[in-house]
Amino acid sequence: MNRKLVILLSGLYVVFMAILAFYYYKNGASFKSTVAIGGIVCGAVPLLLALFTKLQFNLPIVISYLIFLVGSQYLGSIRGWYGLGWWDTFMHFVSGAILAFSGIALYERLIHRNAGDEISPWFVFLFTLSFAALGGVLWEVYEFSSDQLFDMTLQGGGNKDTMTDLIADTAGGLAIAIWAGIRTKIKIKKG
Amino acid sequence: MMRKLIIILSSAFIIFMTFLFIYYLLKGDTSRWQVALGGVLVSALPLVLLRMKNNPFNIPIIISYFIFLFCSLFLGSISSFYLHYKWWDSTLHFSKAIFIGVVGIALYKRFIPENVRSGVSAAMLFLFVLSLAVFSSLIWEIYEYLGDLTFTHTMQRGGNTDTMYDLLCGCAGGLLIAIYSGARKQKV
Repeated sequence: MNRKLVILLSGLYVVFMAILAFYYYKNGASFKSTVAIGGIVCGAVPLLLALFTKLQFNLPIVISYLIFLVGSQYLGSIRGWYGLGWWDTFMHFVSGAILAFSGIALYERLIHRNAGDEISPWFVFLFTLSFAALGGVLWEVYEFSSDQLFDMTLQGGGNKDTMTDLIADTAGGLAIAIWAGIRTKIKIKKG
Repeated sequence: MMRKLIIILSSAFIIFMTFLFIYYLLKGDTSRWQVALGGVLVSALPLVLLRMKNNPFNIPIIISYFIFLFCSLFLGSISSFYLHYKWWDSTLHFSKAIFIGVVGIALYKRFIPENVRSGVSAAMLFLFVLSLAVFSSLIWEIYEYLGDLTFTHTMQRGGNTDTMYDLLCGCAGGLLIAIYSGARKQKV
């Protein structure tokens, strides 16, 4: 059931992006069509994983990933919402939250079920928060190295921009980490 | 032993930093007395551990903490090693990430009881140590950024490139200690 939903949603996104890519290419908007091609690639990742692997999907992560793609690629780049100023910061906040959810999913997979009840909620909190921060830093490292190696201007906003992005990432991670810590604490009390 | 060590080191550093604070305040050297004042606060921080029921840290961690304070605050900021030697800043960021990684291992032992540690994958320890080390670098940069916005205006004067190199050094140090802790999970 999960698998079908993942195939349906990411399939829709890929088709939508393919139409946009074709449309903007015909109209000579090469930047927008490049973004749309990037969108096809990003949307194809969960699609291919669902079609060709037996991976167990975590539905909240896949859905928030697709929402993030819509927000960043379609609304942000193609519709130009990144020009609004606060949209970029908001998307970083959202991606921090998504990363934190992925951290929780990883944590649940890497820890044996029996061990879960005796691990301190502080560990869950710290891990979730720092994992989101790690993701944010790696993203900025990616932008920085693209700028250095390929002469792009992903970090054109300078230090202020980089720091605002990182703080937004951390804030998104913090919100989810607090939630995850409290949830673990309640679970331990019950069990 | 542990309590005595913390009391001796903390009070020695507090006295040293207070002395520097008064000295530079009288000289009117704003950036240096600010650093020394901050130094008094961070030197007092380990005293909080004395009030905790069981302190998760060990003696090497406490000693490294004070070595780091000395290298960063006194040698780096007050004696201007940060300005004169380009490698000083990045080296400290690198070693600080290793230090935080070691703290991460201590926290891991504190938060996860020994009887269930066999149920925790080595990849988990690797990720936790790496993320915590990188997170600490990031917190440091956020602190510098907010400090520049309000009081100091000099900590991130190297701009974006500088910030990114600091973070990269933090990632490198964190990666090193994370690989070590993941590989030797049974023994750490």
